[in-house]
Amino acid sequence: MDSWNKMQRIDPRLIYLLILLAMVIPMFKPMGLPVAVSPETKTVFEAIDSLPSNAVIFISHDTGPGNAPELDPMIAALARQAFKKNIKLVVMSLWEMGAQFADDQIKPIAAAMGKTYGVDYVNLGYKIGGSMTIRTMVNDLSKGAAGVDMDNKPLDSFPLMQRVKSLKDVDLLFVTTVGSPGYSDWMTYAAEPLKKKLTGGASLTMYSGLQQYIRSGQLTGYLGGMRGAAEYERLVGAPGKGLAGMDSQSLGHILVILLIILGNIGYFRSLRATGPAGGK
Amino acid sequence: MNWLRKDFPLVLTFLFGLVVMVSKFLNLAYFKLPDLTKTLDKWSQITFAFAILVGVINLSALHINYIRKRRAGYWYSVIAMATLVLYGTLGMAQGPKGAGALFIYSNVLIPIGSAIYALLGFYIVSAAYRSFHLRSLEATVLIVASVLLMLGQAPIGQVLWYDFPKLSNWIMTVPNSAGIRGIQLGAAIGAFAVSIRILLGLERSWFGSGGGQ
Amino acid sequence: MQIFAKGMVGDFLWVLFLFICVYVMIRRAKAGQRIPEIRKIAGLDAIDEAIGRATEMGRPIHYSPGMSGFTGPTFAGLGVMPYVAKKAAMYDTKLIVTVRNMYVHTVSQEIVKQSYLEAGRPEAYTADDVRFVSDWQFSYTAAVLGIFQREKPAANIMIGHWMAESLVLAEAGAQAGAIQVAGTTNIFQIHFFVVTCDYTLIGEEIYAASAYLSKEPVLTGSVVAQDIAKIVVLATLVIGFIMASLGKSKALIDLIQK
Repeated sequence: MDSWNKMQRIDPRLIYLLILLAMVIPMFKPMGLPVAVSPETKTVFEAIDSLPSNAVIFISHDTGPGNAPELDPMIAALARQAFKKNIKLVVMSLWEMGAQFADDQIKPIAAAMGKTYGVDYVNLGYKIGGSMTIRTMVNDLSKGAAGVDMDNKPLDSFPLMQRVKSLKDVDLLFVTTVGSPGYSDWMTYAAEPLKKKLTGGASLTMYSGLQQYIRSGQLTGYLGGMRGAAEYERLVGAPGKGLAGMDSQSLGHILVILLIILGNIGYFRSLRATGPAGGK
Repeated sequence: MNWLRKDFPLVLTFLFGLVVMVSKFLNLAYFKLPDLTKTLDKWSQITFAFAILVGVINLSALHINYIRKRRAGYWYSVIAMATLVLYGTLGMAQGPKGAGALFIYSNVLIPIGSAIYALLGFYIVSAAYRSFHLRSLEATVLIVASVLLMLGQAPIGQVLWYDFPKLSNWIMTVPNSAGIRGIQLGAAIGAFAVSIRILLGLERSWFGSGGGQ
Repeated sequence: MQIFAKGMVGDFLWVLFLFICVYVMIRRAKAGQRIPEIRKIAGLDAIDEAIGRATEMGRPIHYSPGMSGFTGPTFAGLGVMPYVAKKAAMYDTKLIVTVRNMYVHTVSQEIVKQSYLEAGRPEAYTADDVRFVSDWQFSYTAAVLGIFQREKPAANIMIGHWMAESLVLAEAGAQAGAIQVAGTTNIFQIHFFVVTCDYTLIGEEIYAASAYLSKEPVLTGSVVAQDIAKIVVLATLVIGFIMASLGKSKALIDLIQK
């Protein structure tokens, strides 16, 4: 009984060490487990696949550094799919670091696929103001972006921006989301009034809360966390960090389930010995 | 003076609330009224800048007090104050995008912020271990649903049983969505009712009065 | 040219209906007529237990009205604050309030000061205990983690708008041995509180908090009005469901979107 009681009061640091190992080991020794594609991811892929050549996708990579590992692979896979079909990208972020993160993903892919900045894609950078900025961009993209891209170059100097004057001129909105501002601002102030399709990806924490919007069609599918990124990478045919992270996720989840089982065994053993105990 | 403290804020709240509501509901062009919401937005931004100053004063007073009293762990206060002065000076001297401020932002603030966020991954595991016990029917439902979802989200679940992803997807899209919609509806109406209470000056606890015994 | 802004007629009618509900219920409450009571909310009853425990243990209470500026959940958090502050003043228990937003900080200071005054113990109020920590989300989180480690609060009450820091703070509070009451309307964070806290106020419960704790009939009346509105929404949902199933929902949708 004593050992079970001890199990109940296990030092959390030991648990942290175990989860760290469960996350790190598969990074060095991948297991290559299969990843099935969910209908939501398939919808995202098809929404982009159905766009004609020369169409424009507007990306807002609304994430902070904490969630970037989950969401960055989505941007990379999107860039590959879009560039392959000669679809143009206009990128920005309502979060401080998001535009830079997106740039880090898109730039090498564009270079490898022979795409030119200003012609095939433009990065507007971080734009402050949340929903106010979106509302401005609905009518005047340049005004909402203060007239310059992330390197302070005038938007008028880019051929792509000659035909993308407002959000009315884009064919699809792709928004990654981890909080506010995020999907709800884009849905309320851009996608709904302009009747544009809105898709993208969310952190896994948020994903469960977006289901009703996917069901209602307000979101055209959506990628859920690293799993969604991995599924999307599979569909695009370009395995990246999403698929690589899946083994870590598998081992992490198995560890959590084992800990829950262990915790419950300890709980019931200690209950039998001492009677019902209060607290968590 | 009591009027200034108690009633004046309520009058202001009502008036500004009314301006925003009128701007939202009515076709201002029809009534030839100006849209004051943008002006109010600007006022809000300006007062916020002054509020930052108040915040900085409060923070400094607290930490200077700790340092002066040599309270346990006062070194943390020294670090906090030194950082405030250094970052503030660099920001004001070079601008927010100056090399110095940007260096601290990218190499100190961002990594520390990410590290704190990353604690989430560890804490959720220790929280699950500590509290996911089959104590009641509700707890059992919660635990079973979470285990099924975890197996559905990770590829290992699919290896164990091919349809785990489908099952977890069903949990997420049907019972989960239903629950969330219910909570959201209730919360939205609740927020509405609170707004009306505030506008009408019924909710006074937020400036100190009321709140019971 | 129409009087209402585009698509706002339905919204206006809805707001008008809510105003009428609130007005009628408040009139009934003021006239001493019977209005339904608010059901028992365990999370709010537990606040007394949490304060009592902190008093017995001689350790502080930590309170936070959440992470946002003046939004609905913040008002709900500020609504409970006077109750906690008065009790803390009465029992001579240290209350630490941490705030992320500068506006909210100023108001929080005023609330705590006023509550100590109303409890008859103005001398016990310490301005240093209502702390503006940082407006950066994770700097705030780190600072509160530090407070949990150093000052070991025996009670942790967090009511307001919470984001990704919810689990980190609540788990750290649990590890510090605090009895925890948390509440939020953010559906992405409620489950974290359910797992880590002793009591969780789910969604709209936080909006009933100040009425529930103060037991003022006028406030209770407005909560009853809120429930009437909810019944109307539910009825609309059922009607919409039936009409949509019959393929005749266009008229209802047009009315709502008008």
